[in-house]
Amino acid sequence: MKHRNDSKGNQLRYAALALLTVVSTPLCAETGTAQGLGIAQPLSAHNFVSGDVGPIINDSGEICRVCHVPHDHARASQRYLNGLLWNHDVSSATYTMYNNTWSKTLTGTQSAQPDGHSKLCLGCHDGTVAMDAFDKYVSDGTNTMRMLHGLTVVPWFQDGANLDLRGTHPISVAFPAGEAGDGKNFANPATATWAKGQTIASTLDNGKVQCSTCHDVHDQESIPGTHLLRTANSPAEGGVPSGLCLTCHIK
Amino acid sequence: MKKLVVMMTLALGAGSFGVAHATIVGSVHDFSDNISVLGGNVAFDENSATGWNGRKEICRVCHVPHDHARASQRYLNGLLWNHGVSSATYTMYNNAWSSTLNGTQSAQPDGTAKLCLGCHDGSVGVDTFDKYAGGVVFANQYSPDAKVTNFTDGTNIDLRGTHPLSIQFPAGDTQFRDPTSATWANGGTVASTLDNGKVQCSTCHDVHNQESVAGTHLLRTGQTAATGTASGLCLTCHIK
Ligand code: HEC
Ligand code: HEC
Ligand code: HEC
Ligand code: HEC
Ligand code: HEC
Ligand code: HEC
Ligand code: HEC
Ligand code: HEC
Repeated sequence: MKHRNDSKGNQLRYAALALLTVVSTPLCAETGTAQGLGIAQPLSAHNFVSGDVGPIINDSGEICRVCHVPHDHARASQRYLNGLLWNHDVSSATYTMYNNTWSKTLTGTQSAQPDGHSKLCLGCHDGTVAMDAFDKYVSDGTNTMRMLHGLTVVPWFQDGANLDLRGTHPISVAFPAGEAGDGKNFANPATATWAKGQTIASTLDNGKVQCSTCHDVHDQESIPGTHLLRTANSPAEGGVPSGLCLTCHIK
Repeated sequence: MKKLVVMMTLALGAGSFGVAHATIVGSVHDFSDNISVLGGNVAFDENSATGWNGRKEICRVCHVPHDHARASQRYLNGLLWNHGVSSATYTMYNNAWSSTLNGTQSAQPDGTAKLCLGCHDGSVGVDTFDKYAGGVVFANQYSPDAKVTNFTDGTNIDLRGTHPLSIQFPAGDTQFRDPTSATWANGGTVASTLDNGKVQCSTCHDVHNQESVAGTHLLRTGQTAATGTASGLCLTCHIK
């Protein structure tokens, strides 16, 4: 049973995980190869076959279908045009961006609005779109993430009306020209790696930092006991202080 | 581990004044050691038995990747700010105080100066960050020098004893070097350290201990022969 209460749910997941990996985790933690649950695992955050959200929004009995479909259904919405065989509604919101107008020191090339993978995540995580608006179903305005599980809406997207991204790390932004790997500002994305060994570059989307750069939605390349993060950010999570931030930023 | 890092950075810094190549890790603003006070002269157990920064992250004391949807909306201070800021009204070093001050200045400290003063005016706890109300550990408990000079008790918020802040270079003033060509010890221009064109705390100091000269108070250029040249920092901007 997947509990929706944030901390309890997490505790449960981690407890289960600890049981599964009691032997391998301590060894892996040292080399940084500890692995996520995998999205097929019932306790994984985006497995909507089980849990309490799953039965409410998803009677397909499938995992991937909530987000991807092998053949688009030729509906007017043409969700596939979002890429990756996307099968879920995306948000039509206009966001207040964390951009160069807001912060003069932000110099990387950035899209005017969230695009690419971030747009896919925000289709659930901005709290305006119904979670069950996938496949042949359209949003009827109910069952938004906020209604189902207010706490996991990206912070400050609590009411779906406050679409302010200035409280979220800049997204849809490239490493500033000449600063990636300069030894002063940023690590080199082509060589710097996440805990499981992937390069940062391999997790950029068209060269841009997106939600999926820091998080693995499929819970595969992520570190157990974190919010699907690709590198732990604290000693309590088995990493070094601010290890995620320092994978990219030289500070 | 932390000691090791400190030793390494000291060793690296020792050879050259110019570029320290240090980082925030192990520096004065790395609170991941989670100790309450240097010297331990204040008993502490606010958020948990483990101290005020139990998660032992570095950046989180000041920045967070997602604002936590709290009423305080700290992110509106910019830079994903996650620390309390001061609500004090300061007595400014301004044109009313000094009629020879000509640069355009904000009425109160703004931009990044407001961020520093969130700890350094002594009125907000260092432990006031993230979801914590804090207010138990103050900057002066880390070191008696940590409050900006003259901010001795947190109620004396008089900035007339501190170099003018939130101020632009006076237009066309030949008493100043051109900030776009004048450089700090690490080679960066003065202009690149202005905040919306204004001199702030961060113009002289690097809070991340990265572009600062080892052995100074996080200064971008040394002030003595031991760390640079005599009053080298002042003379980077002022032609005197
Ligand atoms: C909650 C939504 C969601 C679910 C459920 C989901 N995905 Fe994805 N998937 C995404 C998003 C968003 C991306 C793009 C971001 C990324 O690659 O991390 C993506 C990317 C992909 C990609 C291309 C990039 C890559 O990582 O290889 C493949 C292949 C993929 N998904 C397969 C699957 C399969 C197979 C399943 C079911 C077992 C599945 N996904 C379930 C959201 C989902
Ligand atoms: C189909 C809707 C949907 C999409 C698309 C989606 N999510 Fe989620 N996400 C959810 C729901 C629902 C939860 C809460 C699940 C839970 O707590 O069990 C969640 C939880 C999370 C969490 C918290 C996990 C934890 O362990 O605390 C993170 C992080 C996250 N999502 C990131 C992403 C990212 C990044 C993307 C895009 C790459 C994405 N999500 C796409 C619905 C979605
Ligand atoms: C620069 C890295 C980074 C990016 C980009 C990023 N996140 Fe996060 N996210 C984090 C970290 C670190 C945490 C853990 C924060 C914490 O512990 O307070 C987190 C936490 C979360 C959570 C859990 C919320 C909570 O407070 O429990 C969700 C959901 C989430 N992120 C979704 C997203 C979505 C959606 C996007 C894109 C719009 C995104 N993230 C972009 C780093 C990032
Ligand atoms: C995947 C690499 C990556 C990770 C991980 C990452 N960042 Fe960033 N960060 C960036 C990039 C790229 C920018 C945009 C820089 C620019 O355009 O000048 C940025 C911008 C920022 C900014 C805004 C800078 C400004 O000038 O306004 C802050 C603050 C920040 N990051 C803090 C953090 C913190 C804190 C963490 C850890 C929770 C973190 N970052 C993790 C890549 C990353
Ligand atoms: C004690 C508070 C504090 C801590 C801790 C801190 N910062 Fe900052 N940071 C600031 C302040 C104040 C500014 C604005 C002044 C400046 O840029 O010097 C800033 C600016 C930034 C910027 C934008 C300008 C620039 O220099 O690129 C980024 C990015 C950033 N910080 C990242 C980080 C990361 C990553 C960490 C953790 C490794 C971190 N900071 C730790 C206070 C802090
Ligand atoms: C989270 C609170 C906090 C913030 C925000 C903060 N500081 Fe500090 N700072 C401290 C504390 C505490 C100390 C003393 C630490 C010690 O002595 O161990 C300190 C020490 C210093 C020192 C003395 C360093 C030395 O080597 O003697 C300088 C200079 C300084 N800070 C400048 C700044 C500037 C400039 C900013 C903004 C850009 C800033 N600080 C933001 C808490 C903060
Ligand atoms: C014009 C450059 C300049 C500006 C602007 C500036 N400082 Fe300083 N600061 C210095 C110098 C130089 C020292 C070293 C003073 C000494 O050795 O007596 C110093 C020392 C300090 C110290 C060490 C404690 C002490 O008194 O020795 C702290 C803390 C500090 N500054 C914080 C700040 C804060 C916070 C601000 C903004 C409110 C600020 N500074 C603005 C140049 C500056
Ligand atoms: C980053 C450049 C910069 C640095 C470094 C700097 N100053 Fe200034 N200083 C200024 C600016 C700009 C003003 C405002 C001038 C005006 O508005 O007329 C100013 C004003 C002053 C004033 C007040 C002048 C008046 O008319 O009231 C004094 C005194 C002063 N600085 C002394 C110093 C000393 C001493 C140092 C070294 C510790 C120093 N400055 C370092 C830029 C700088």
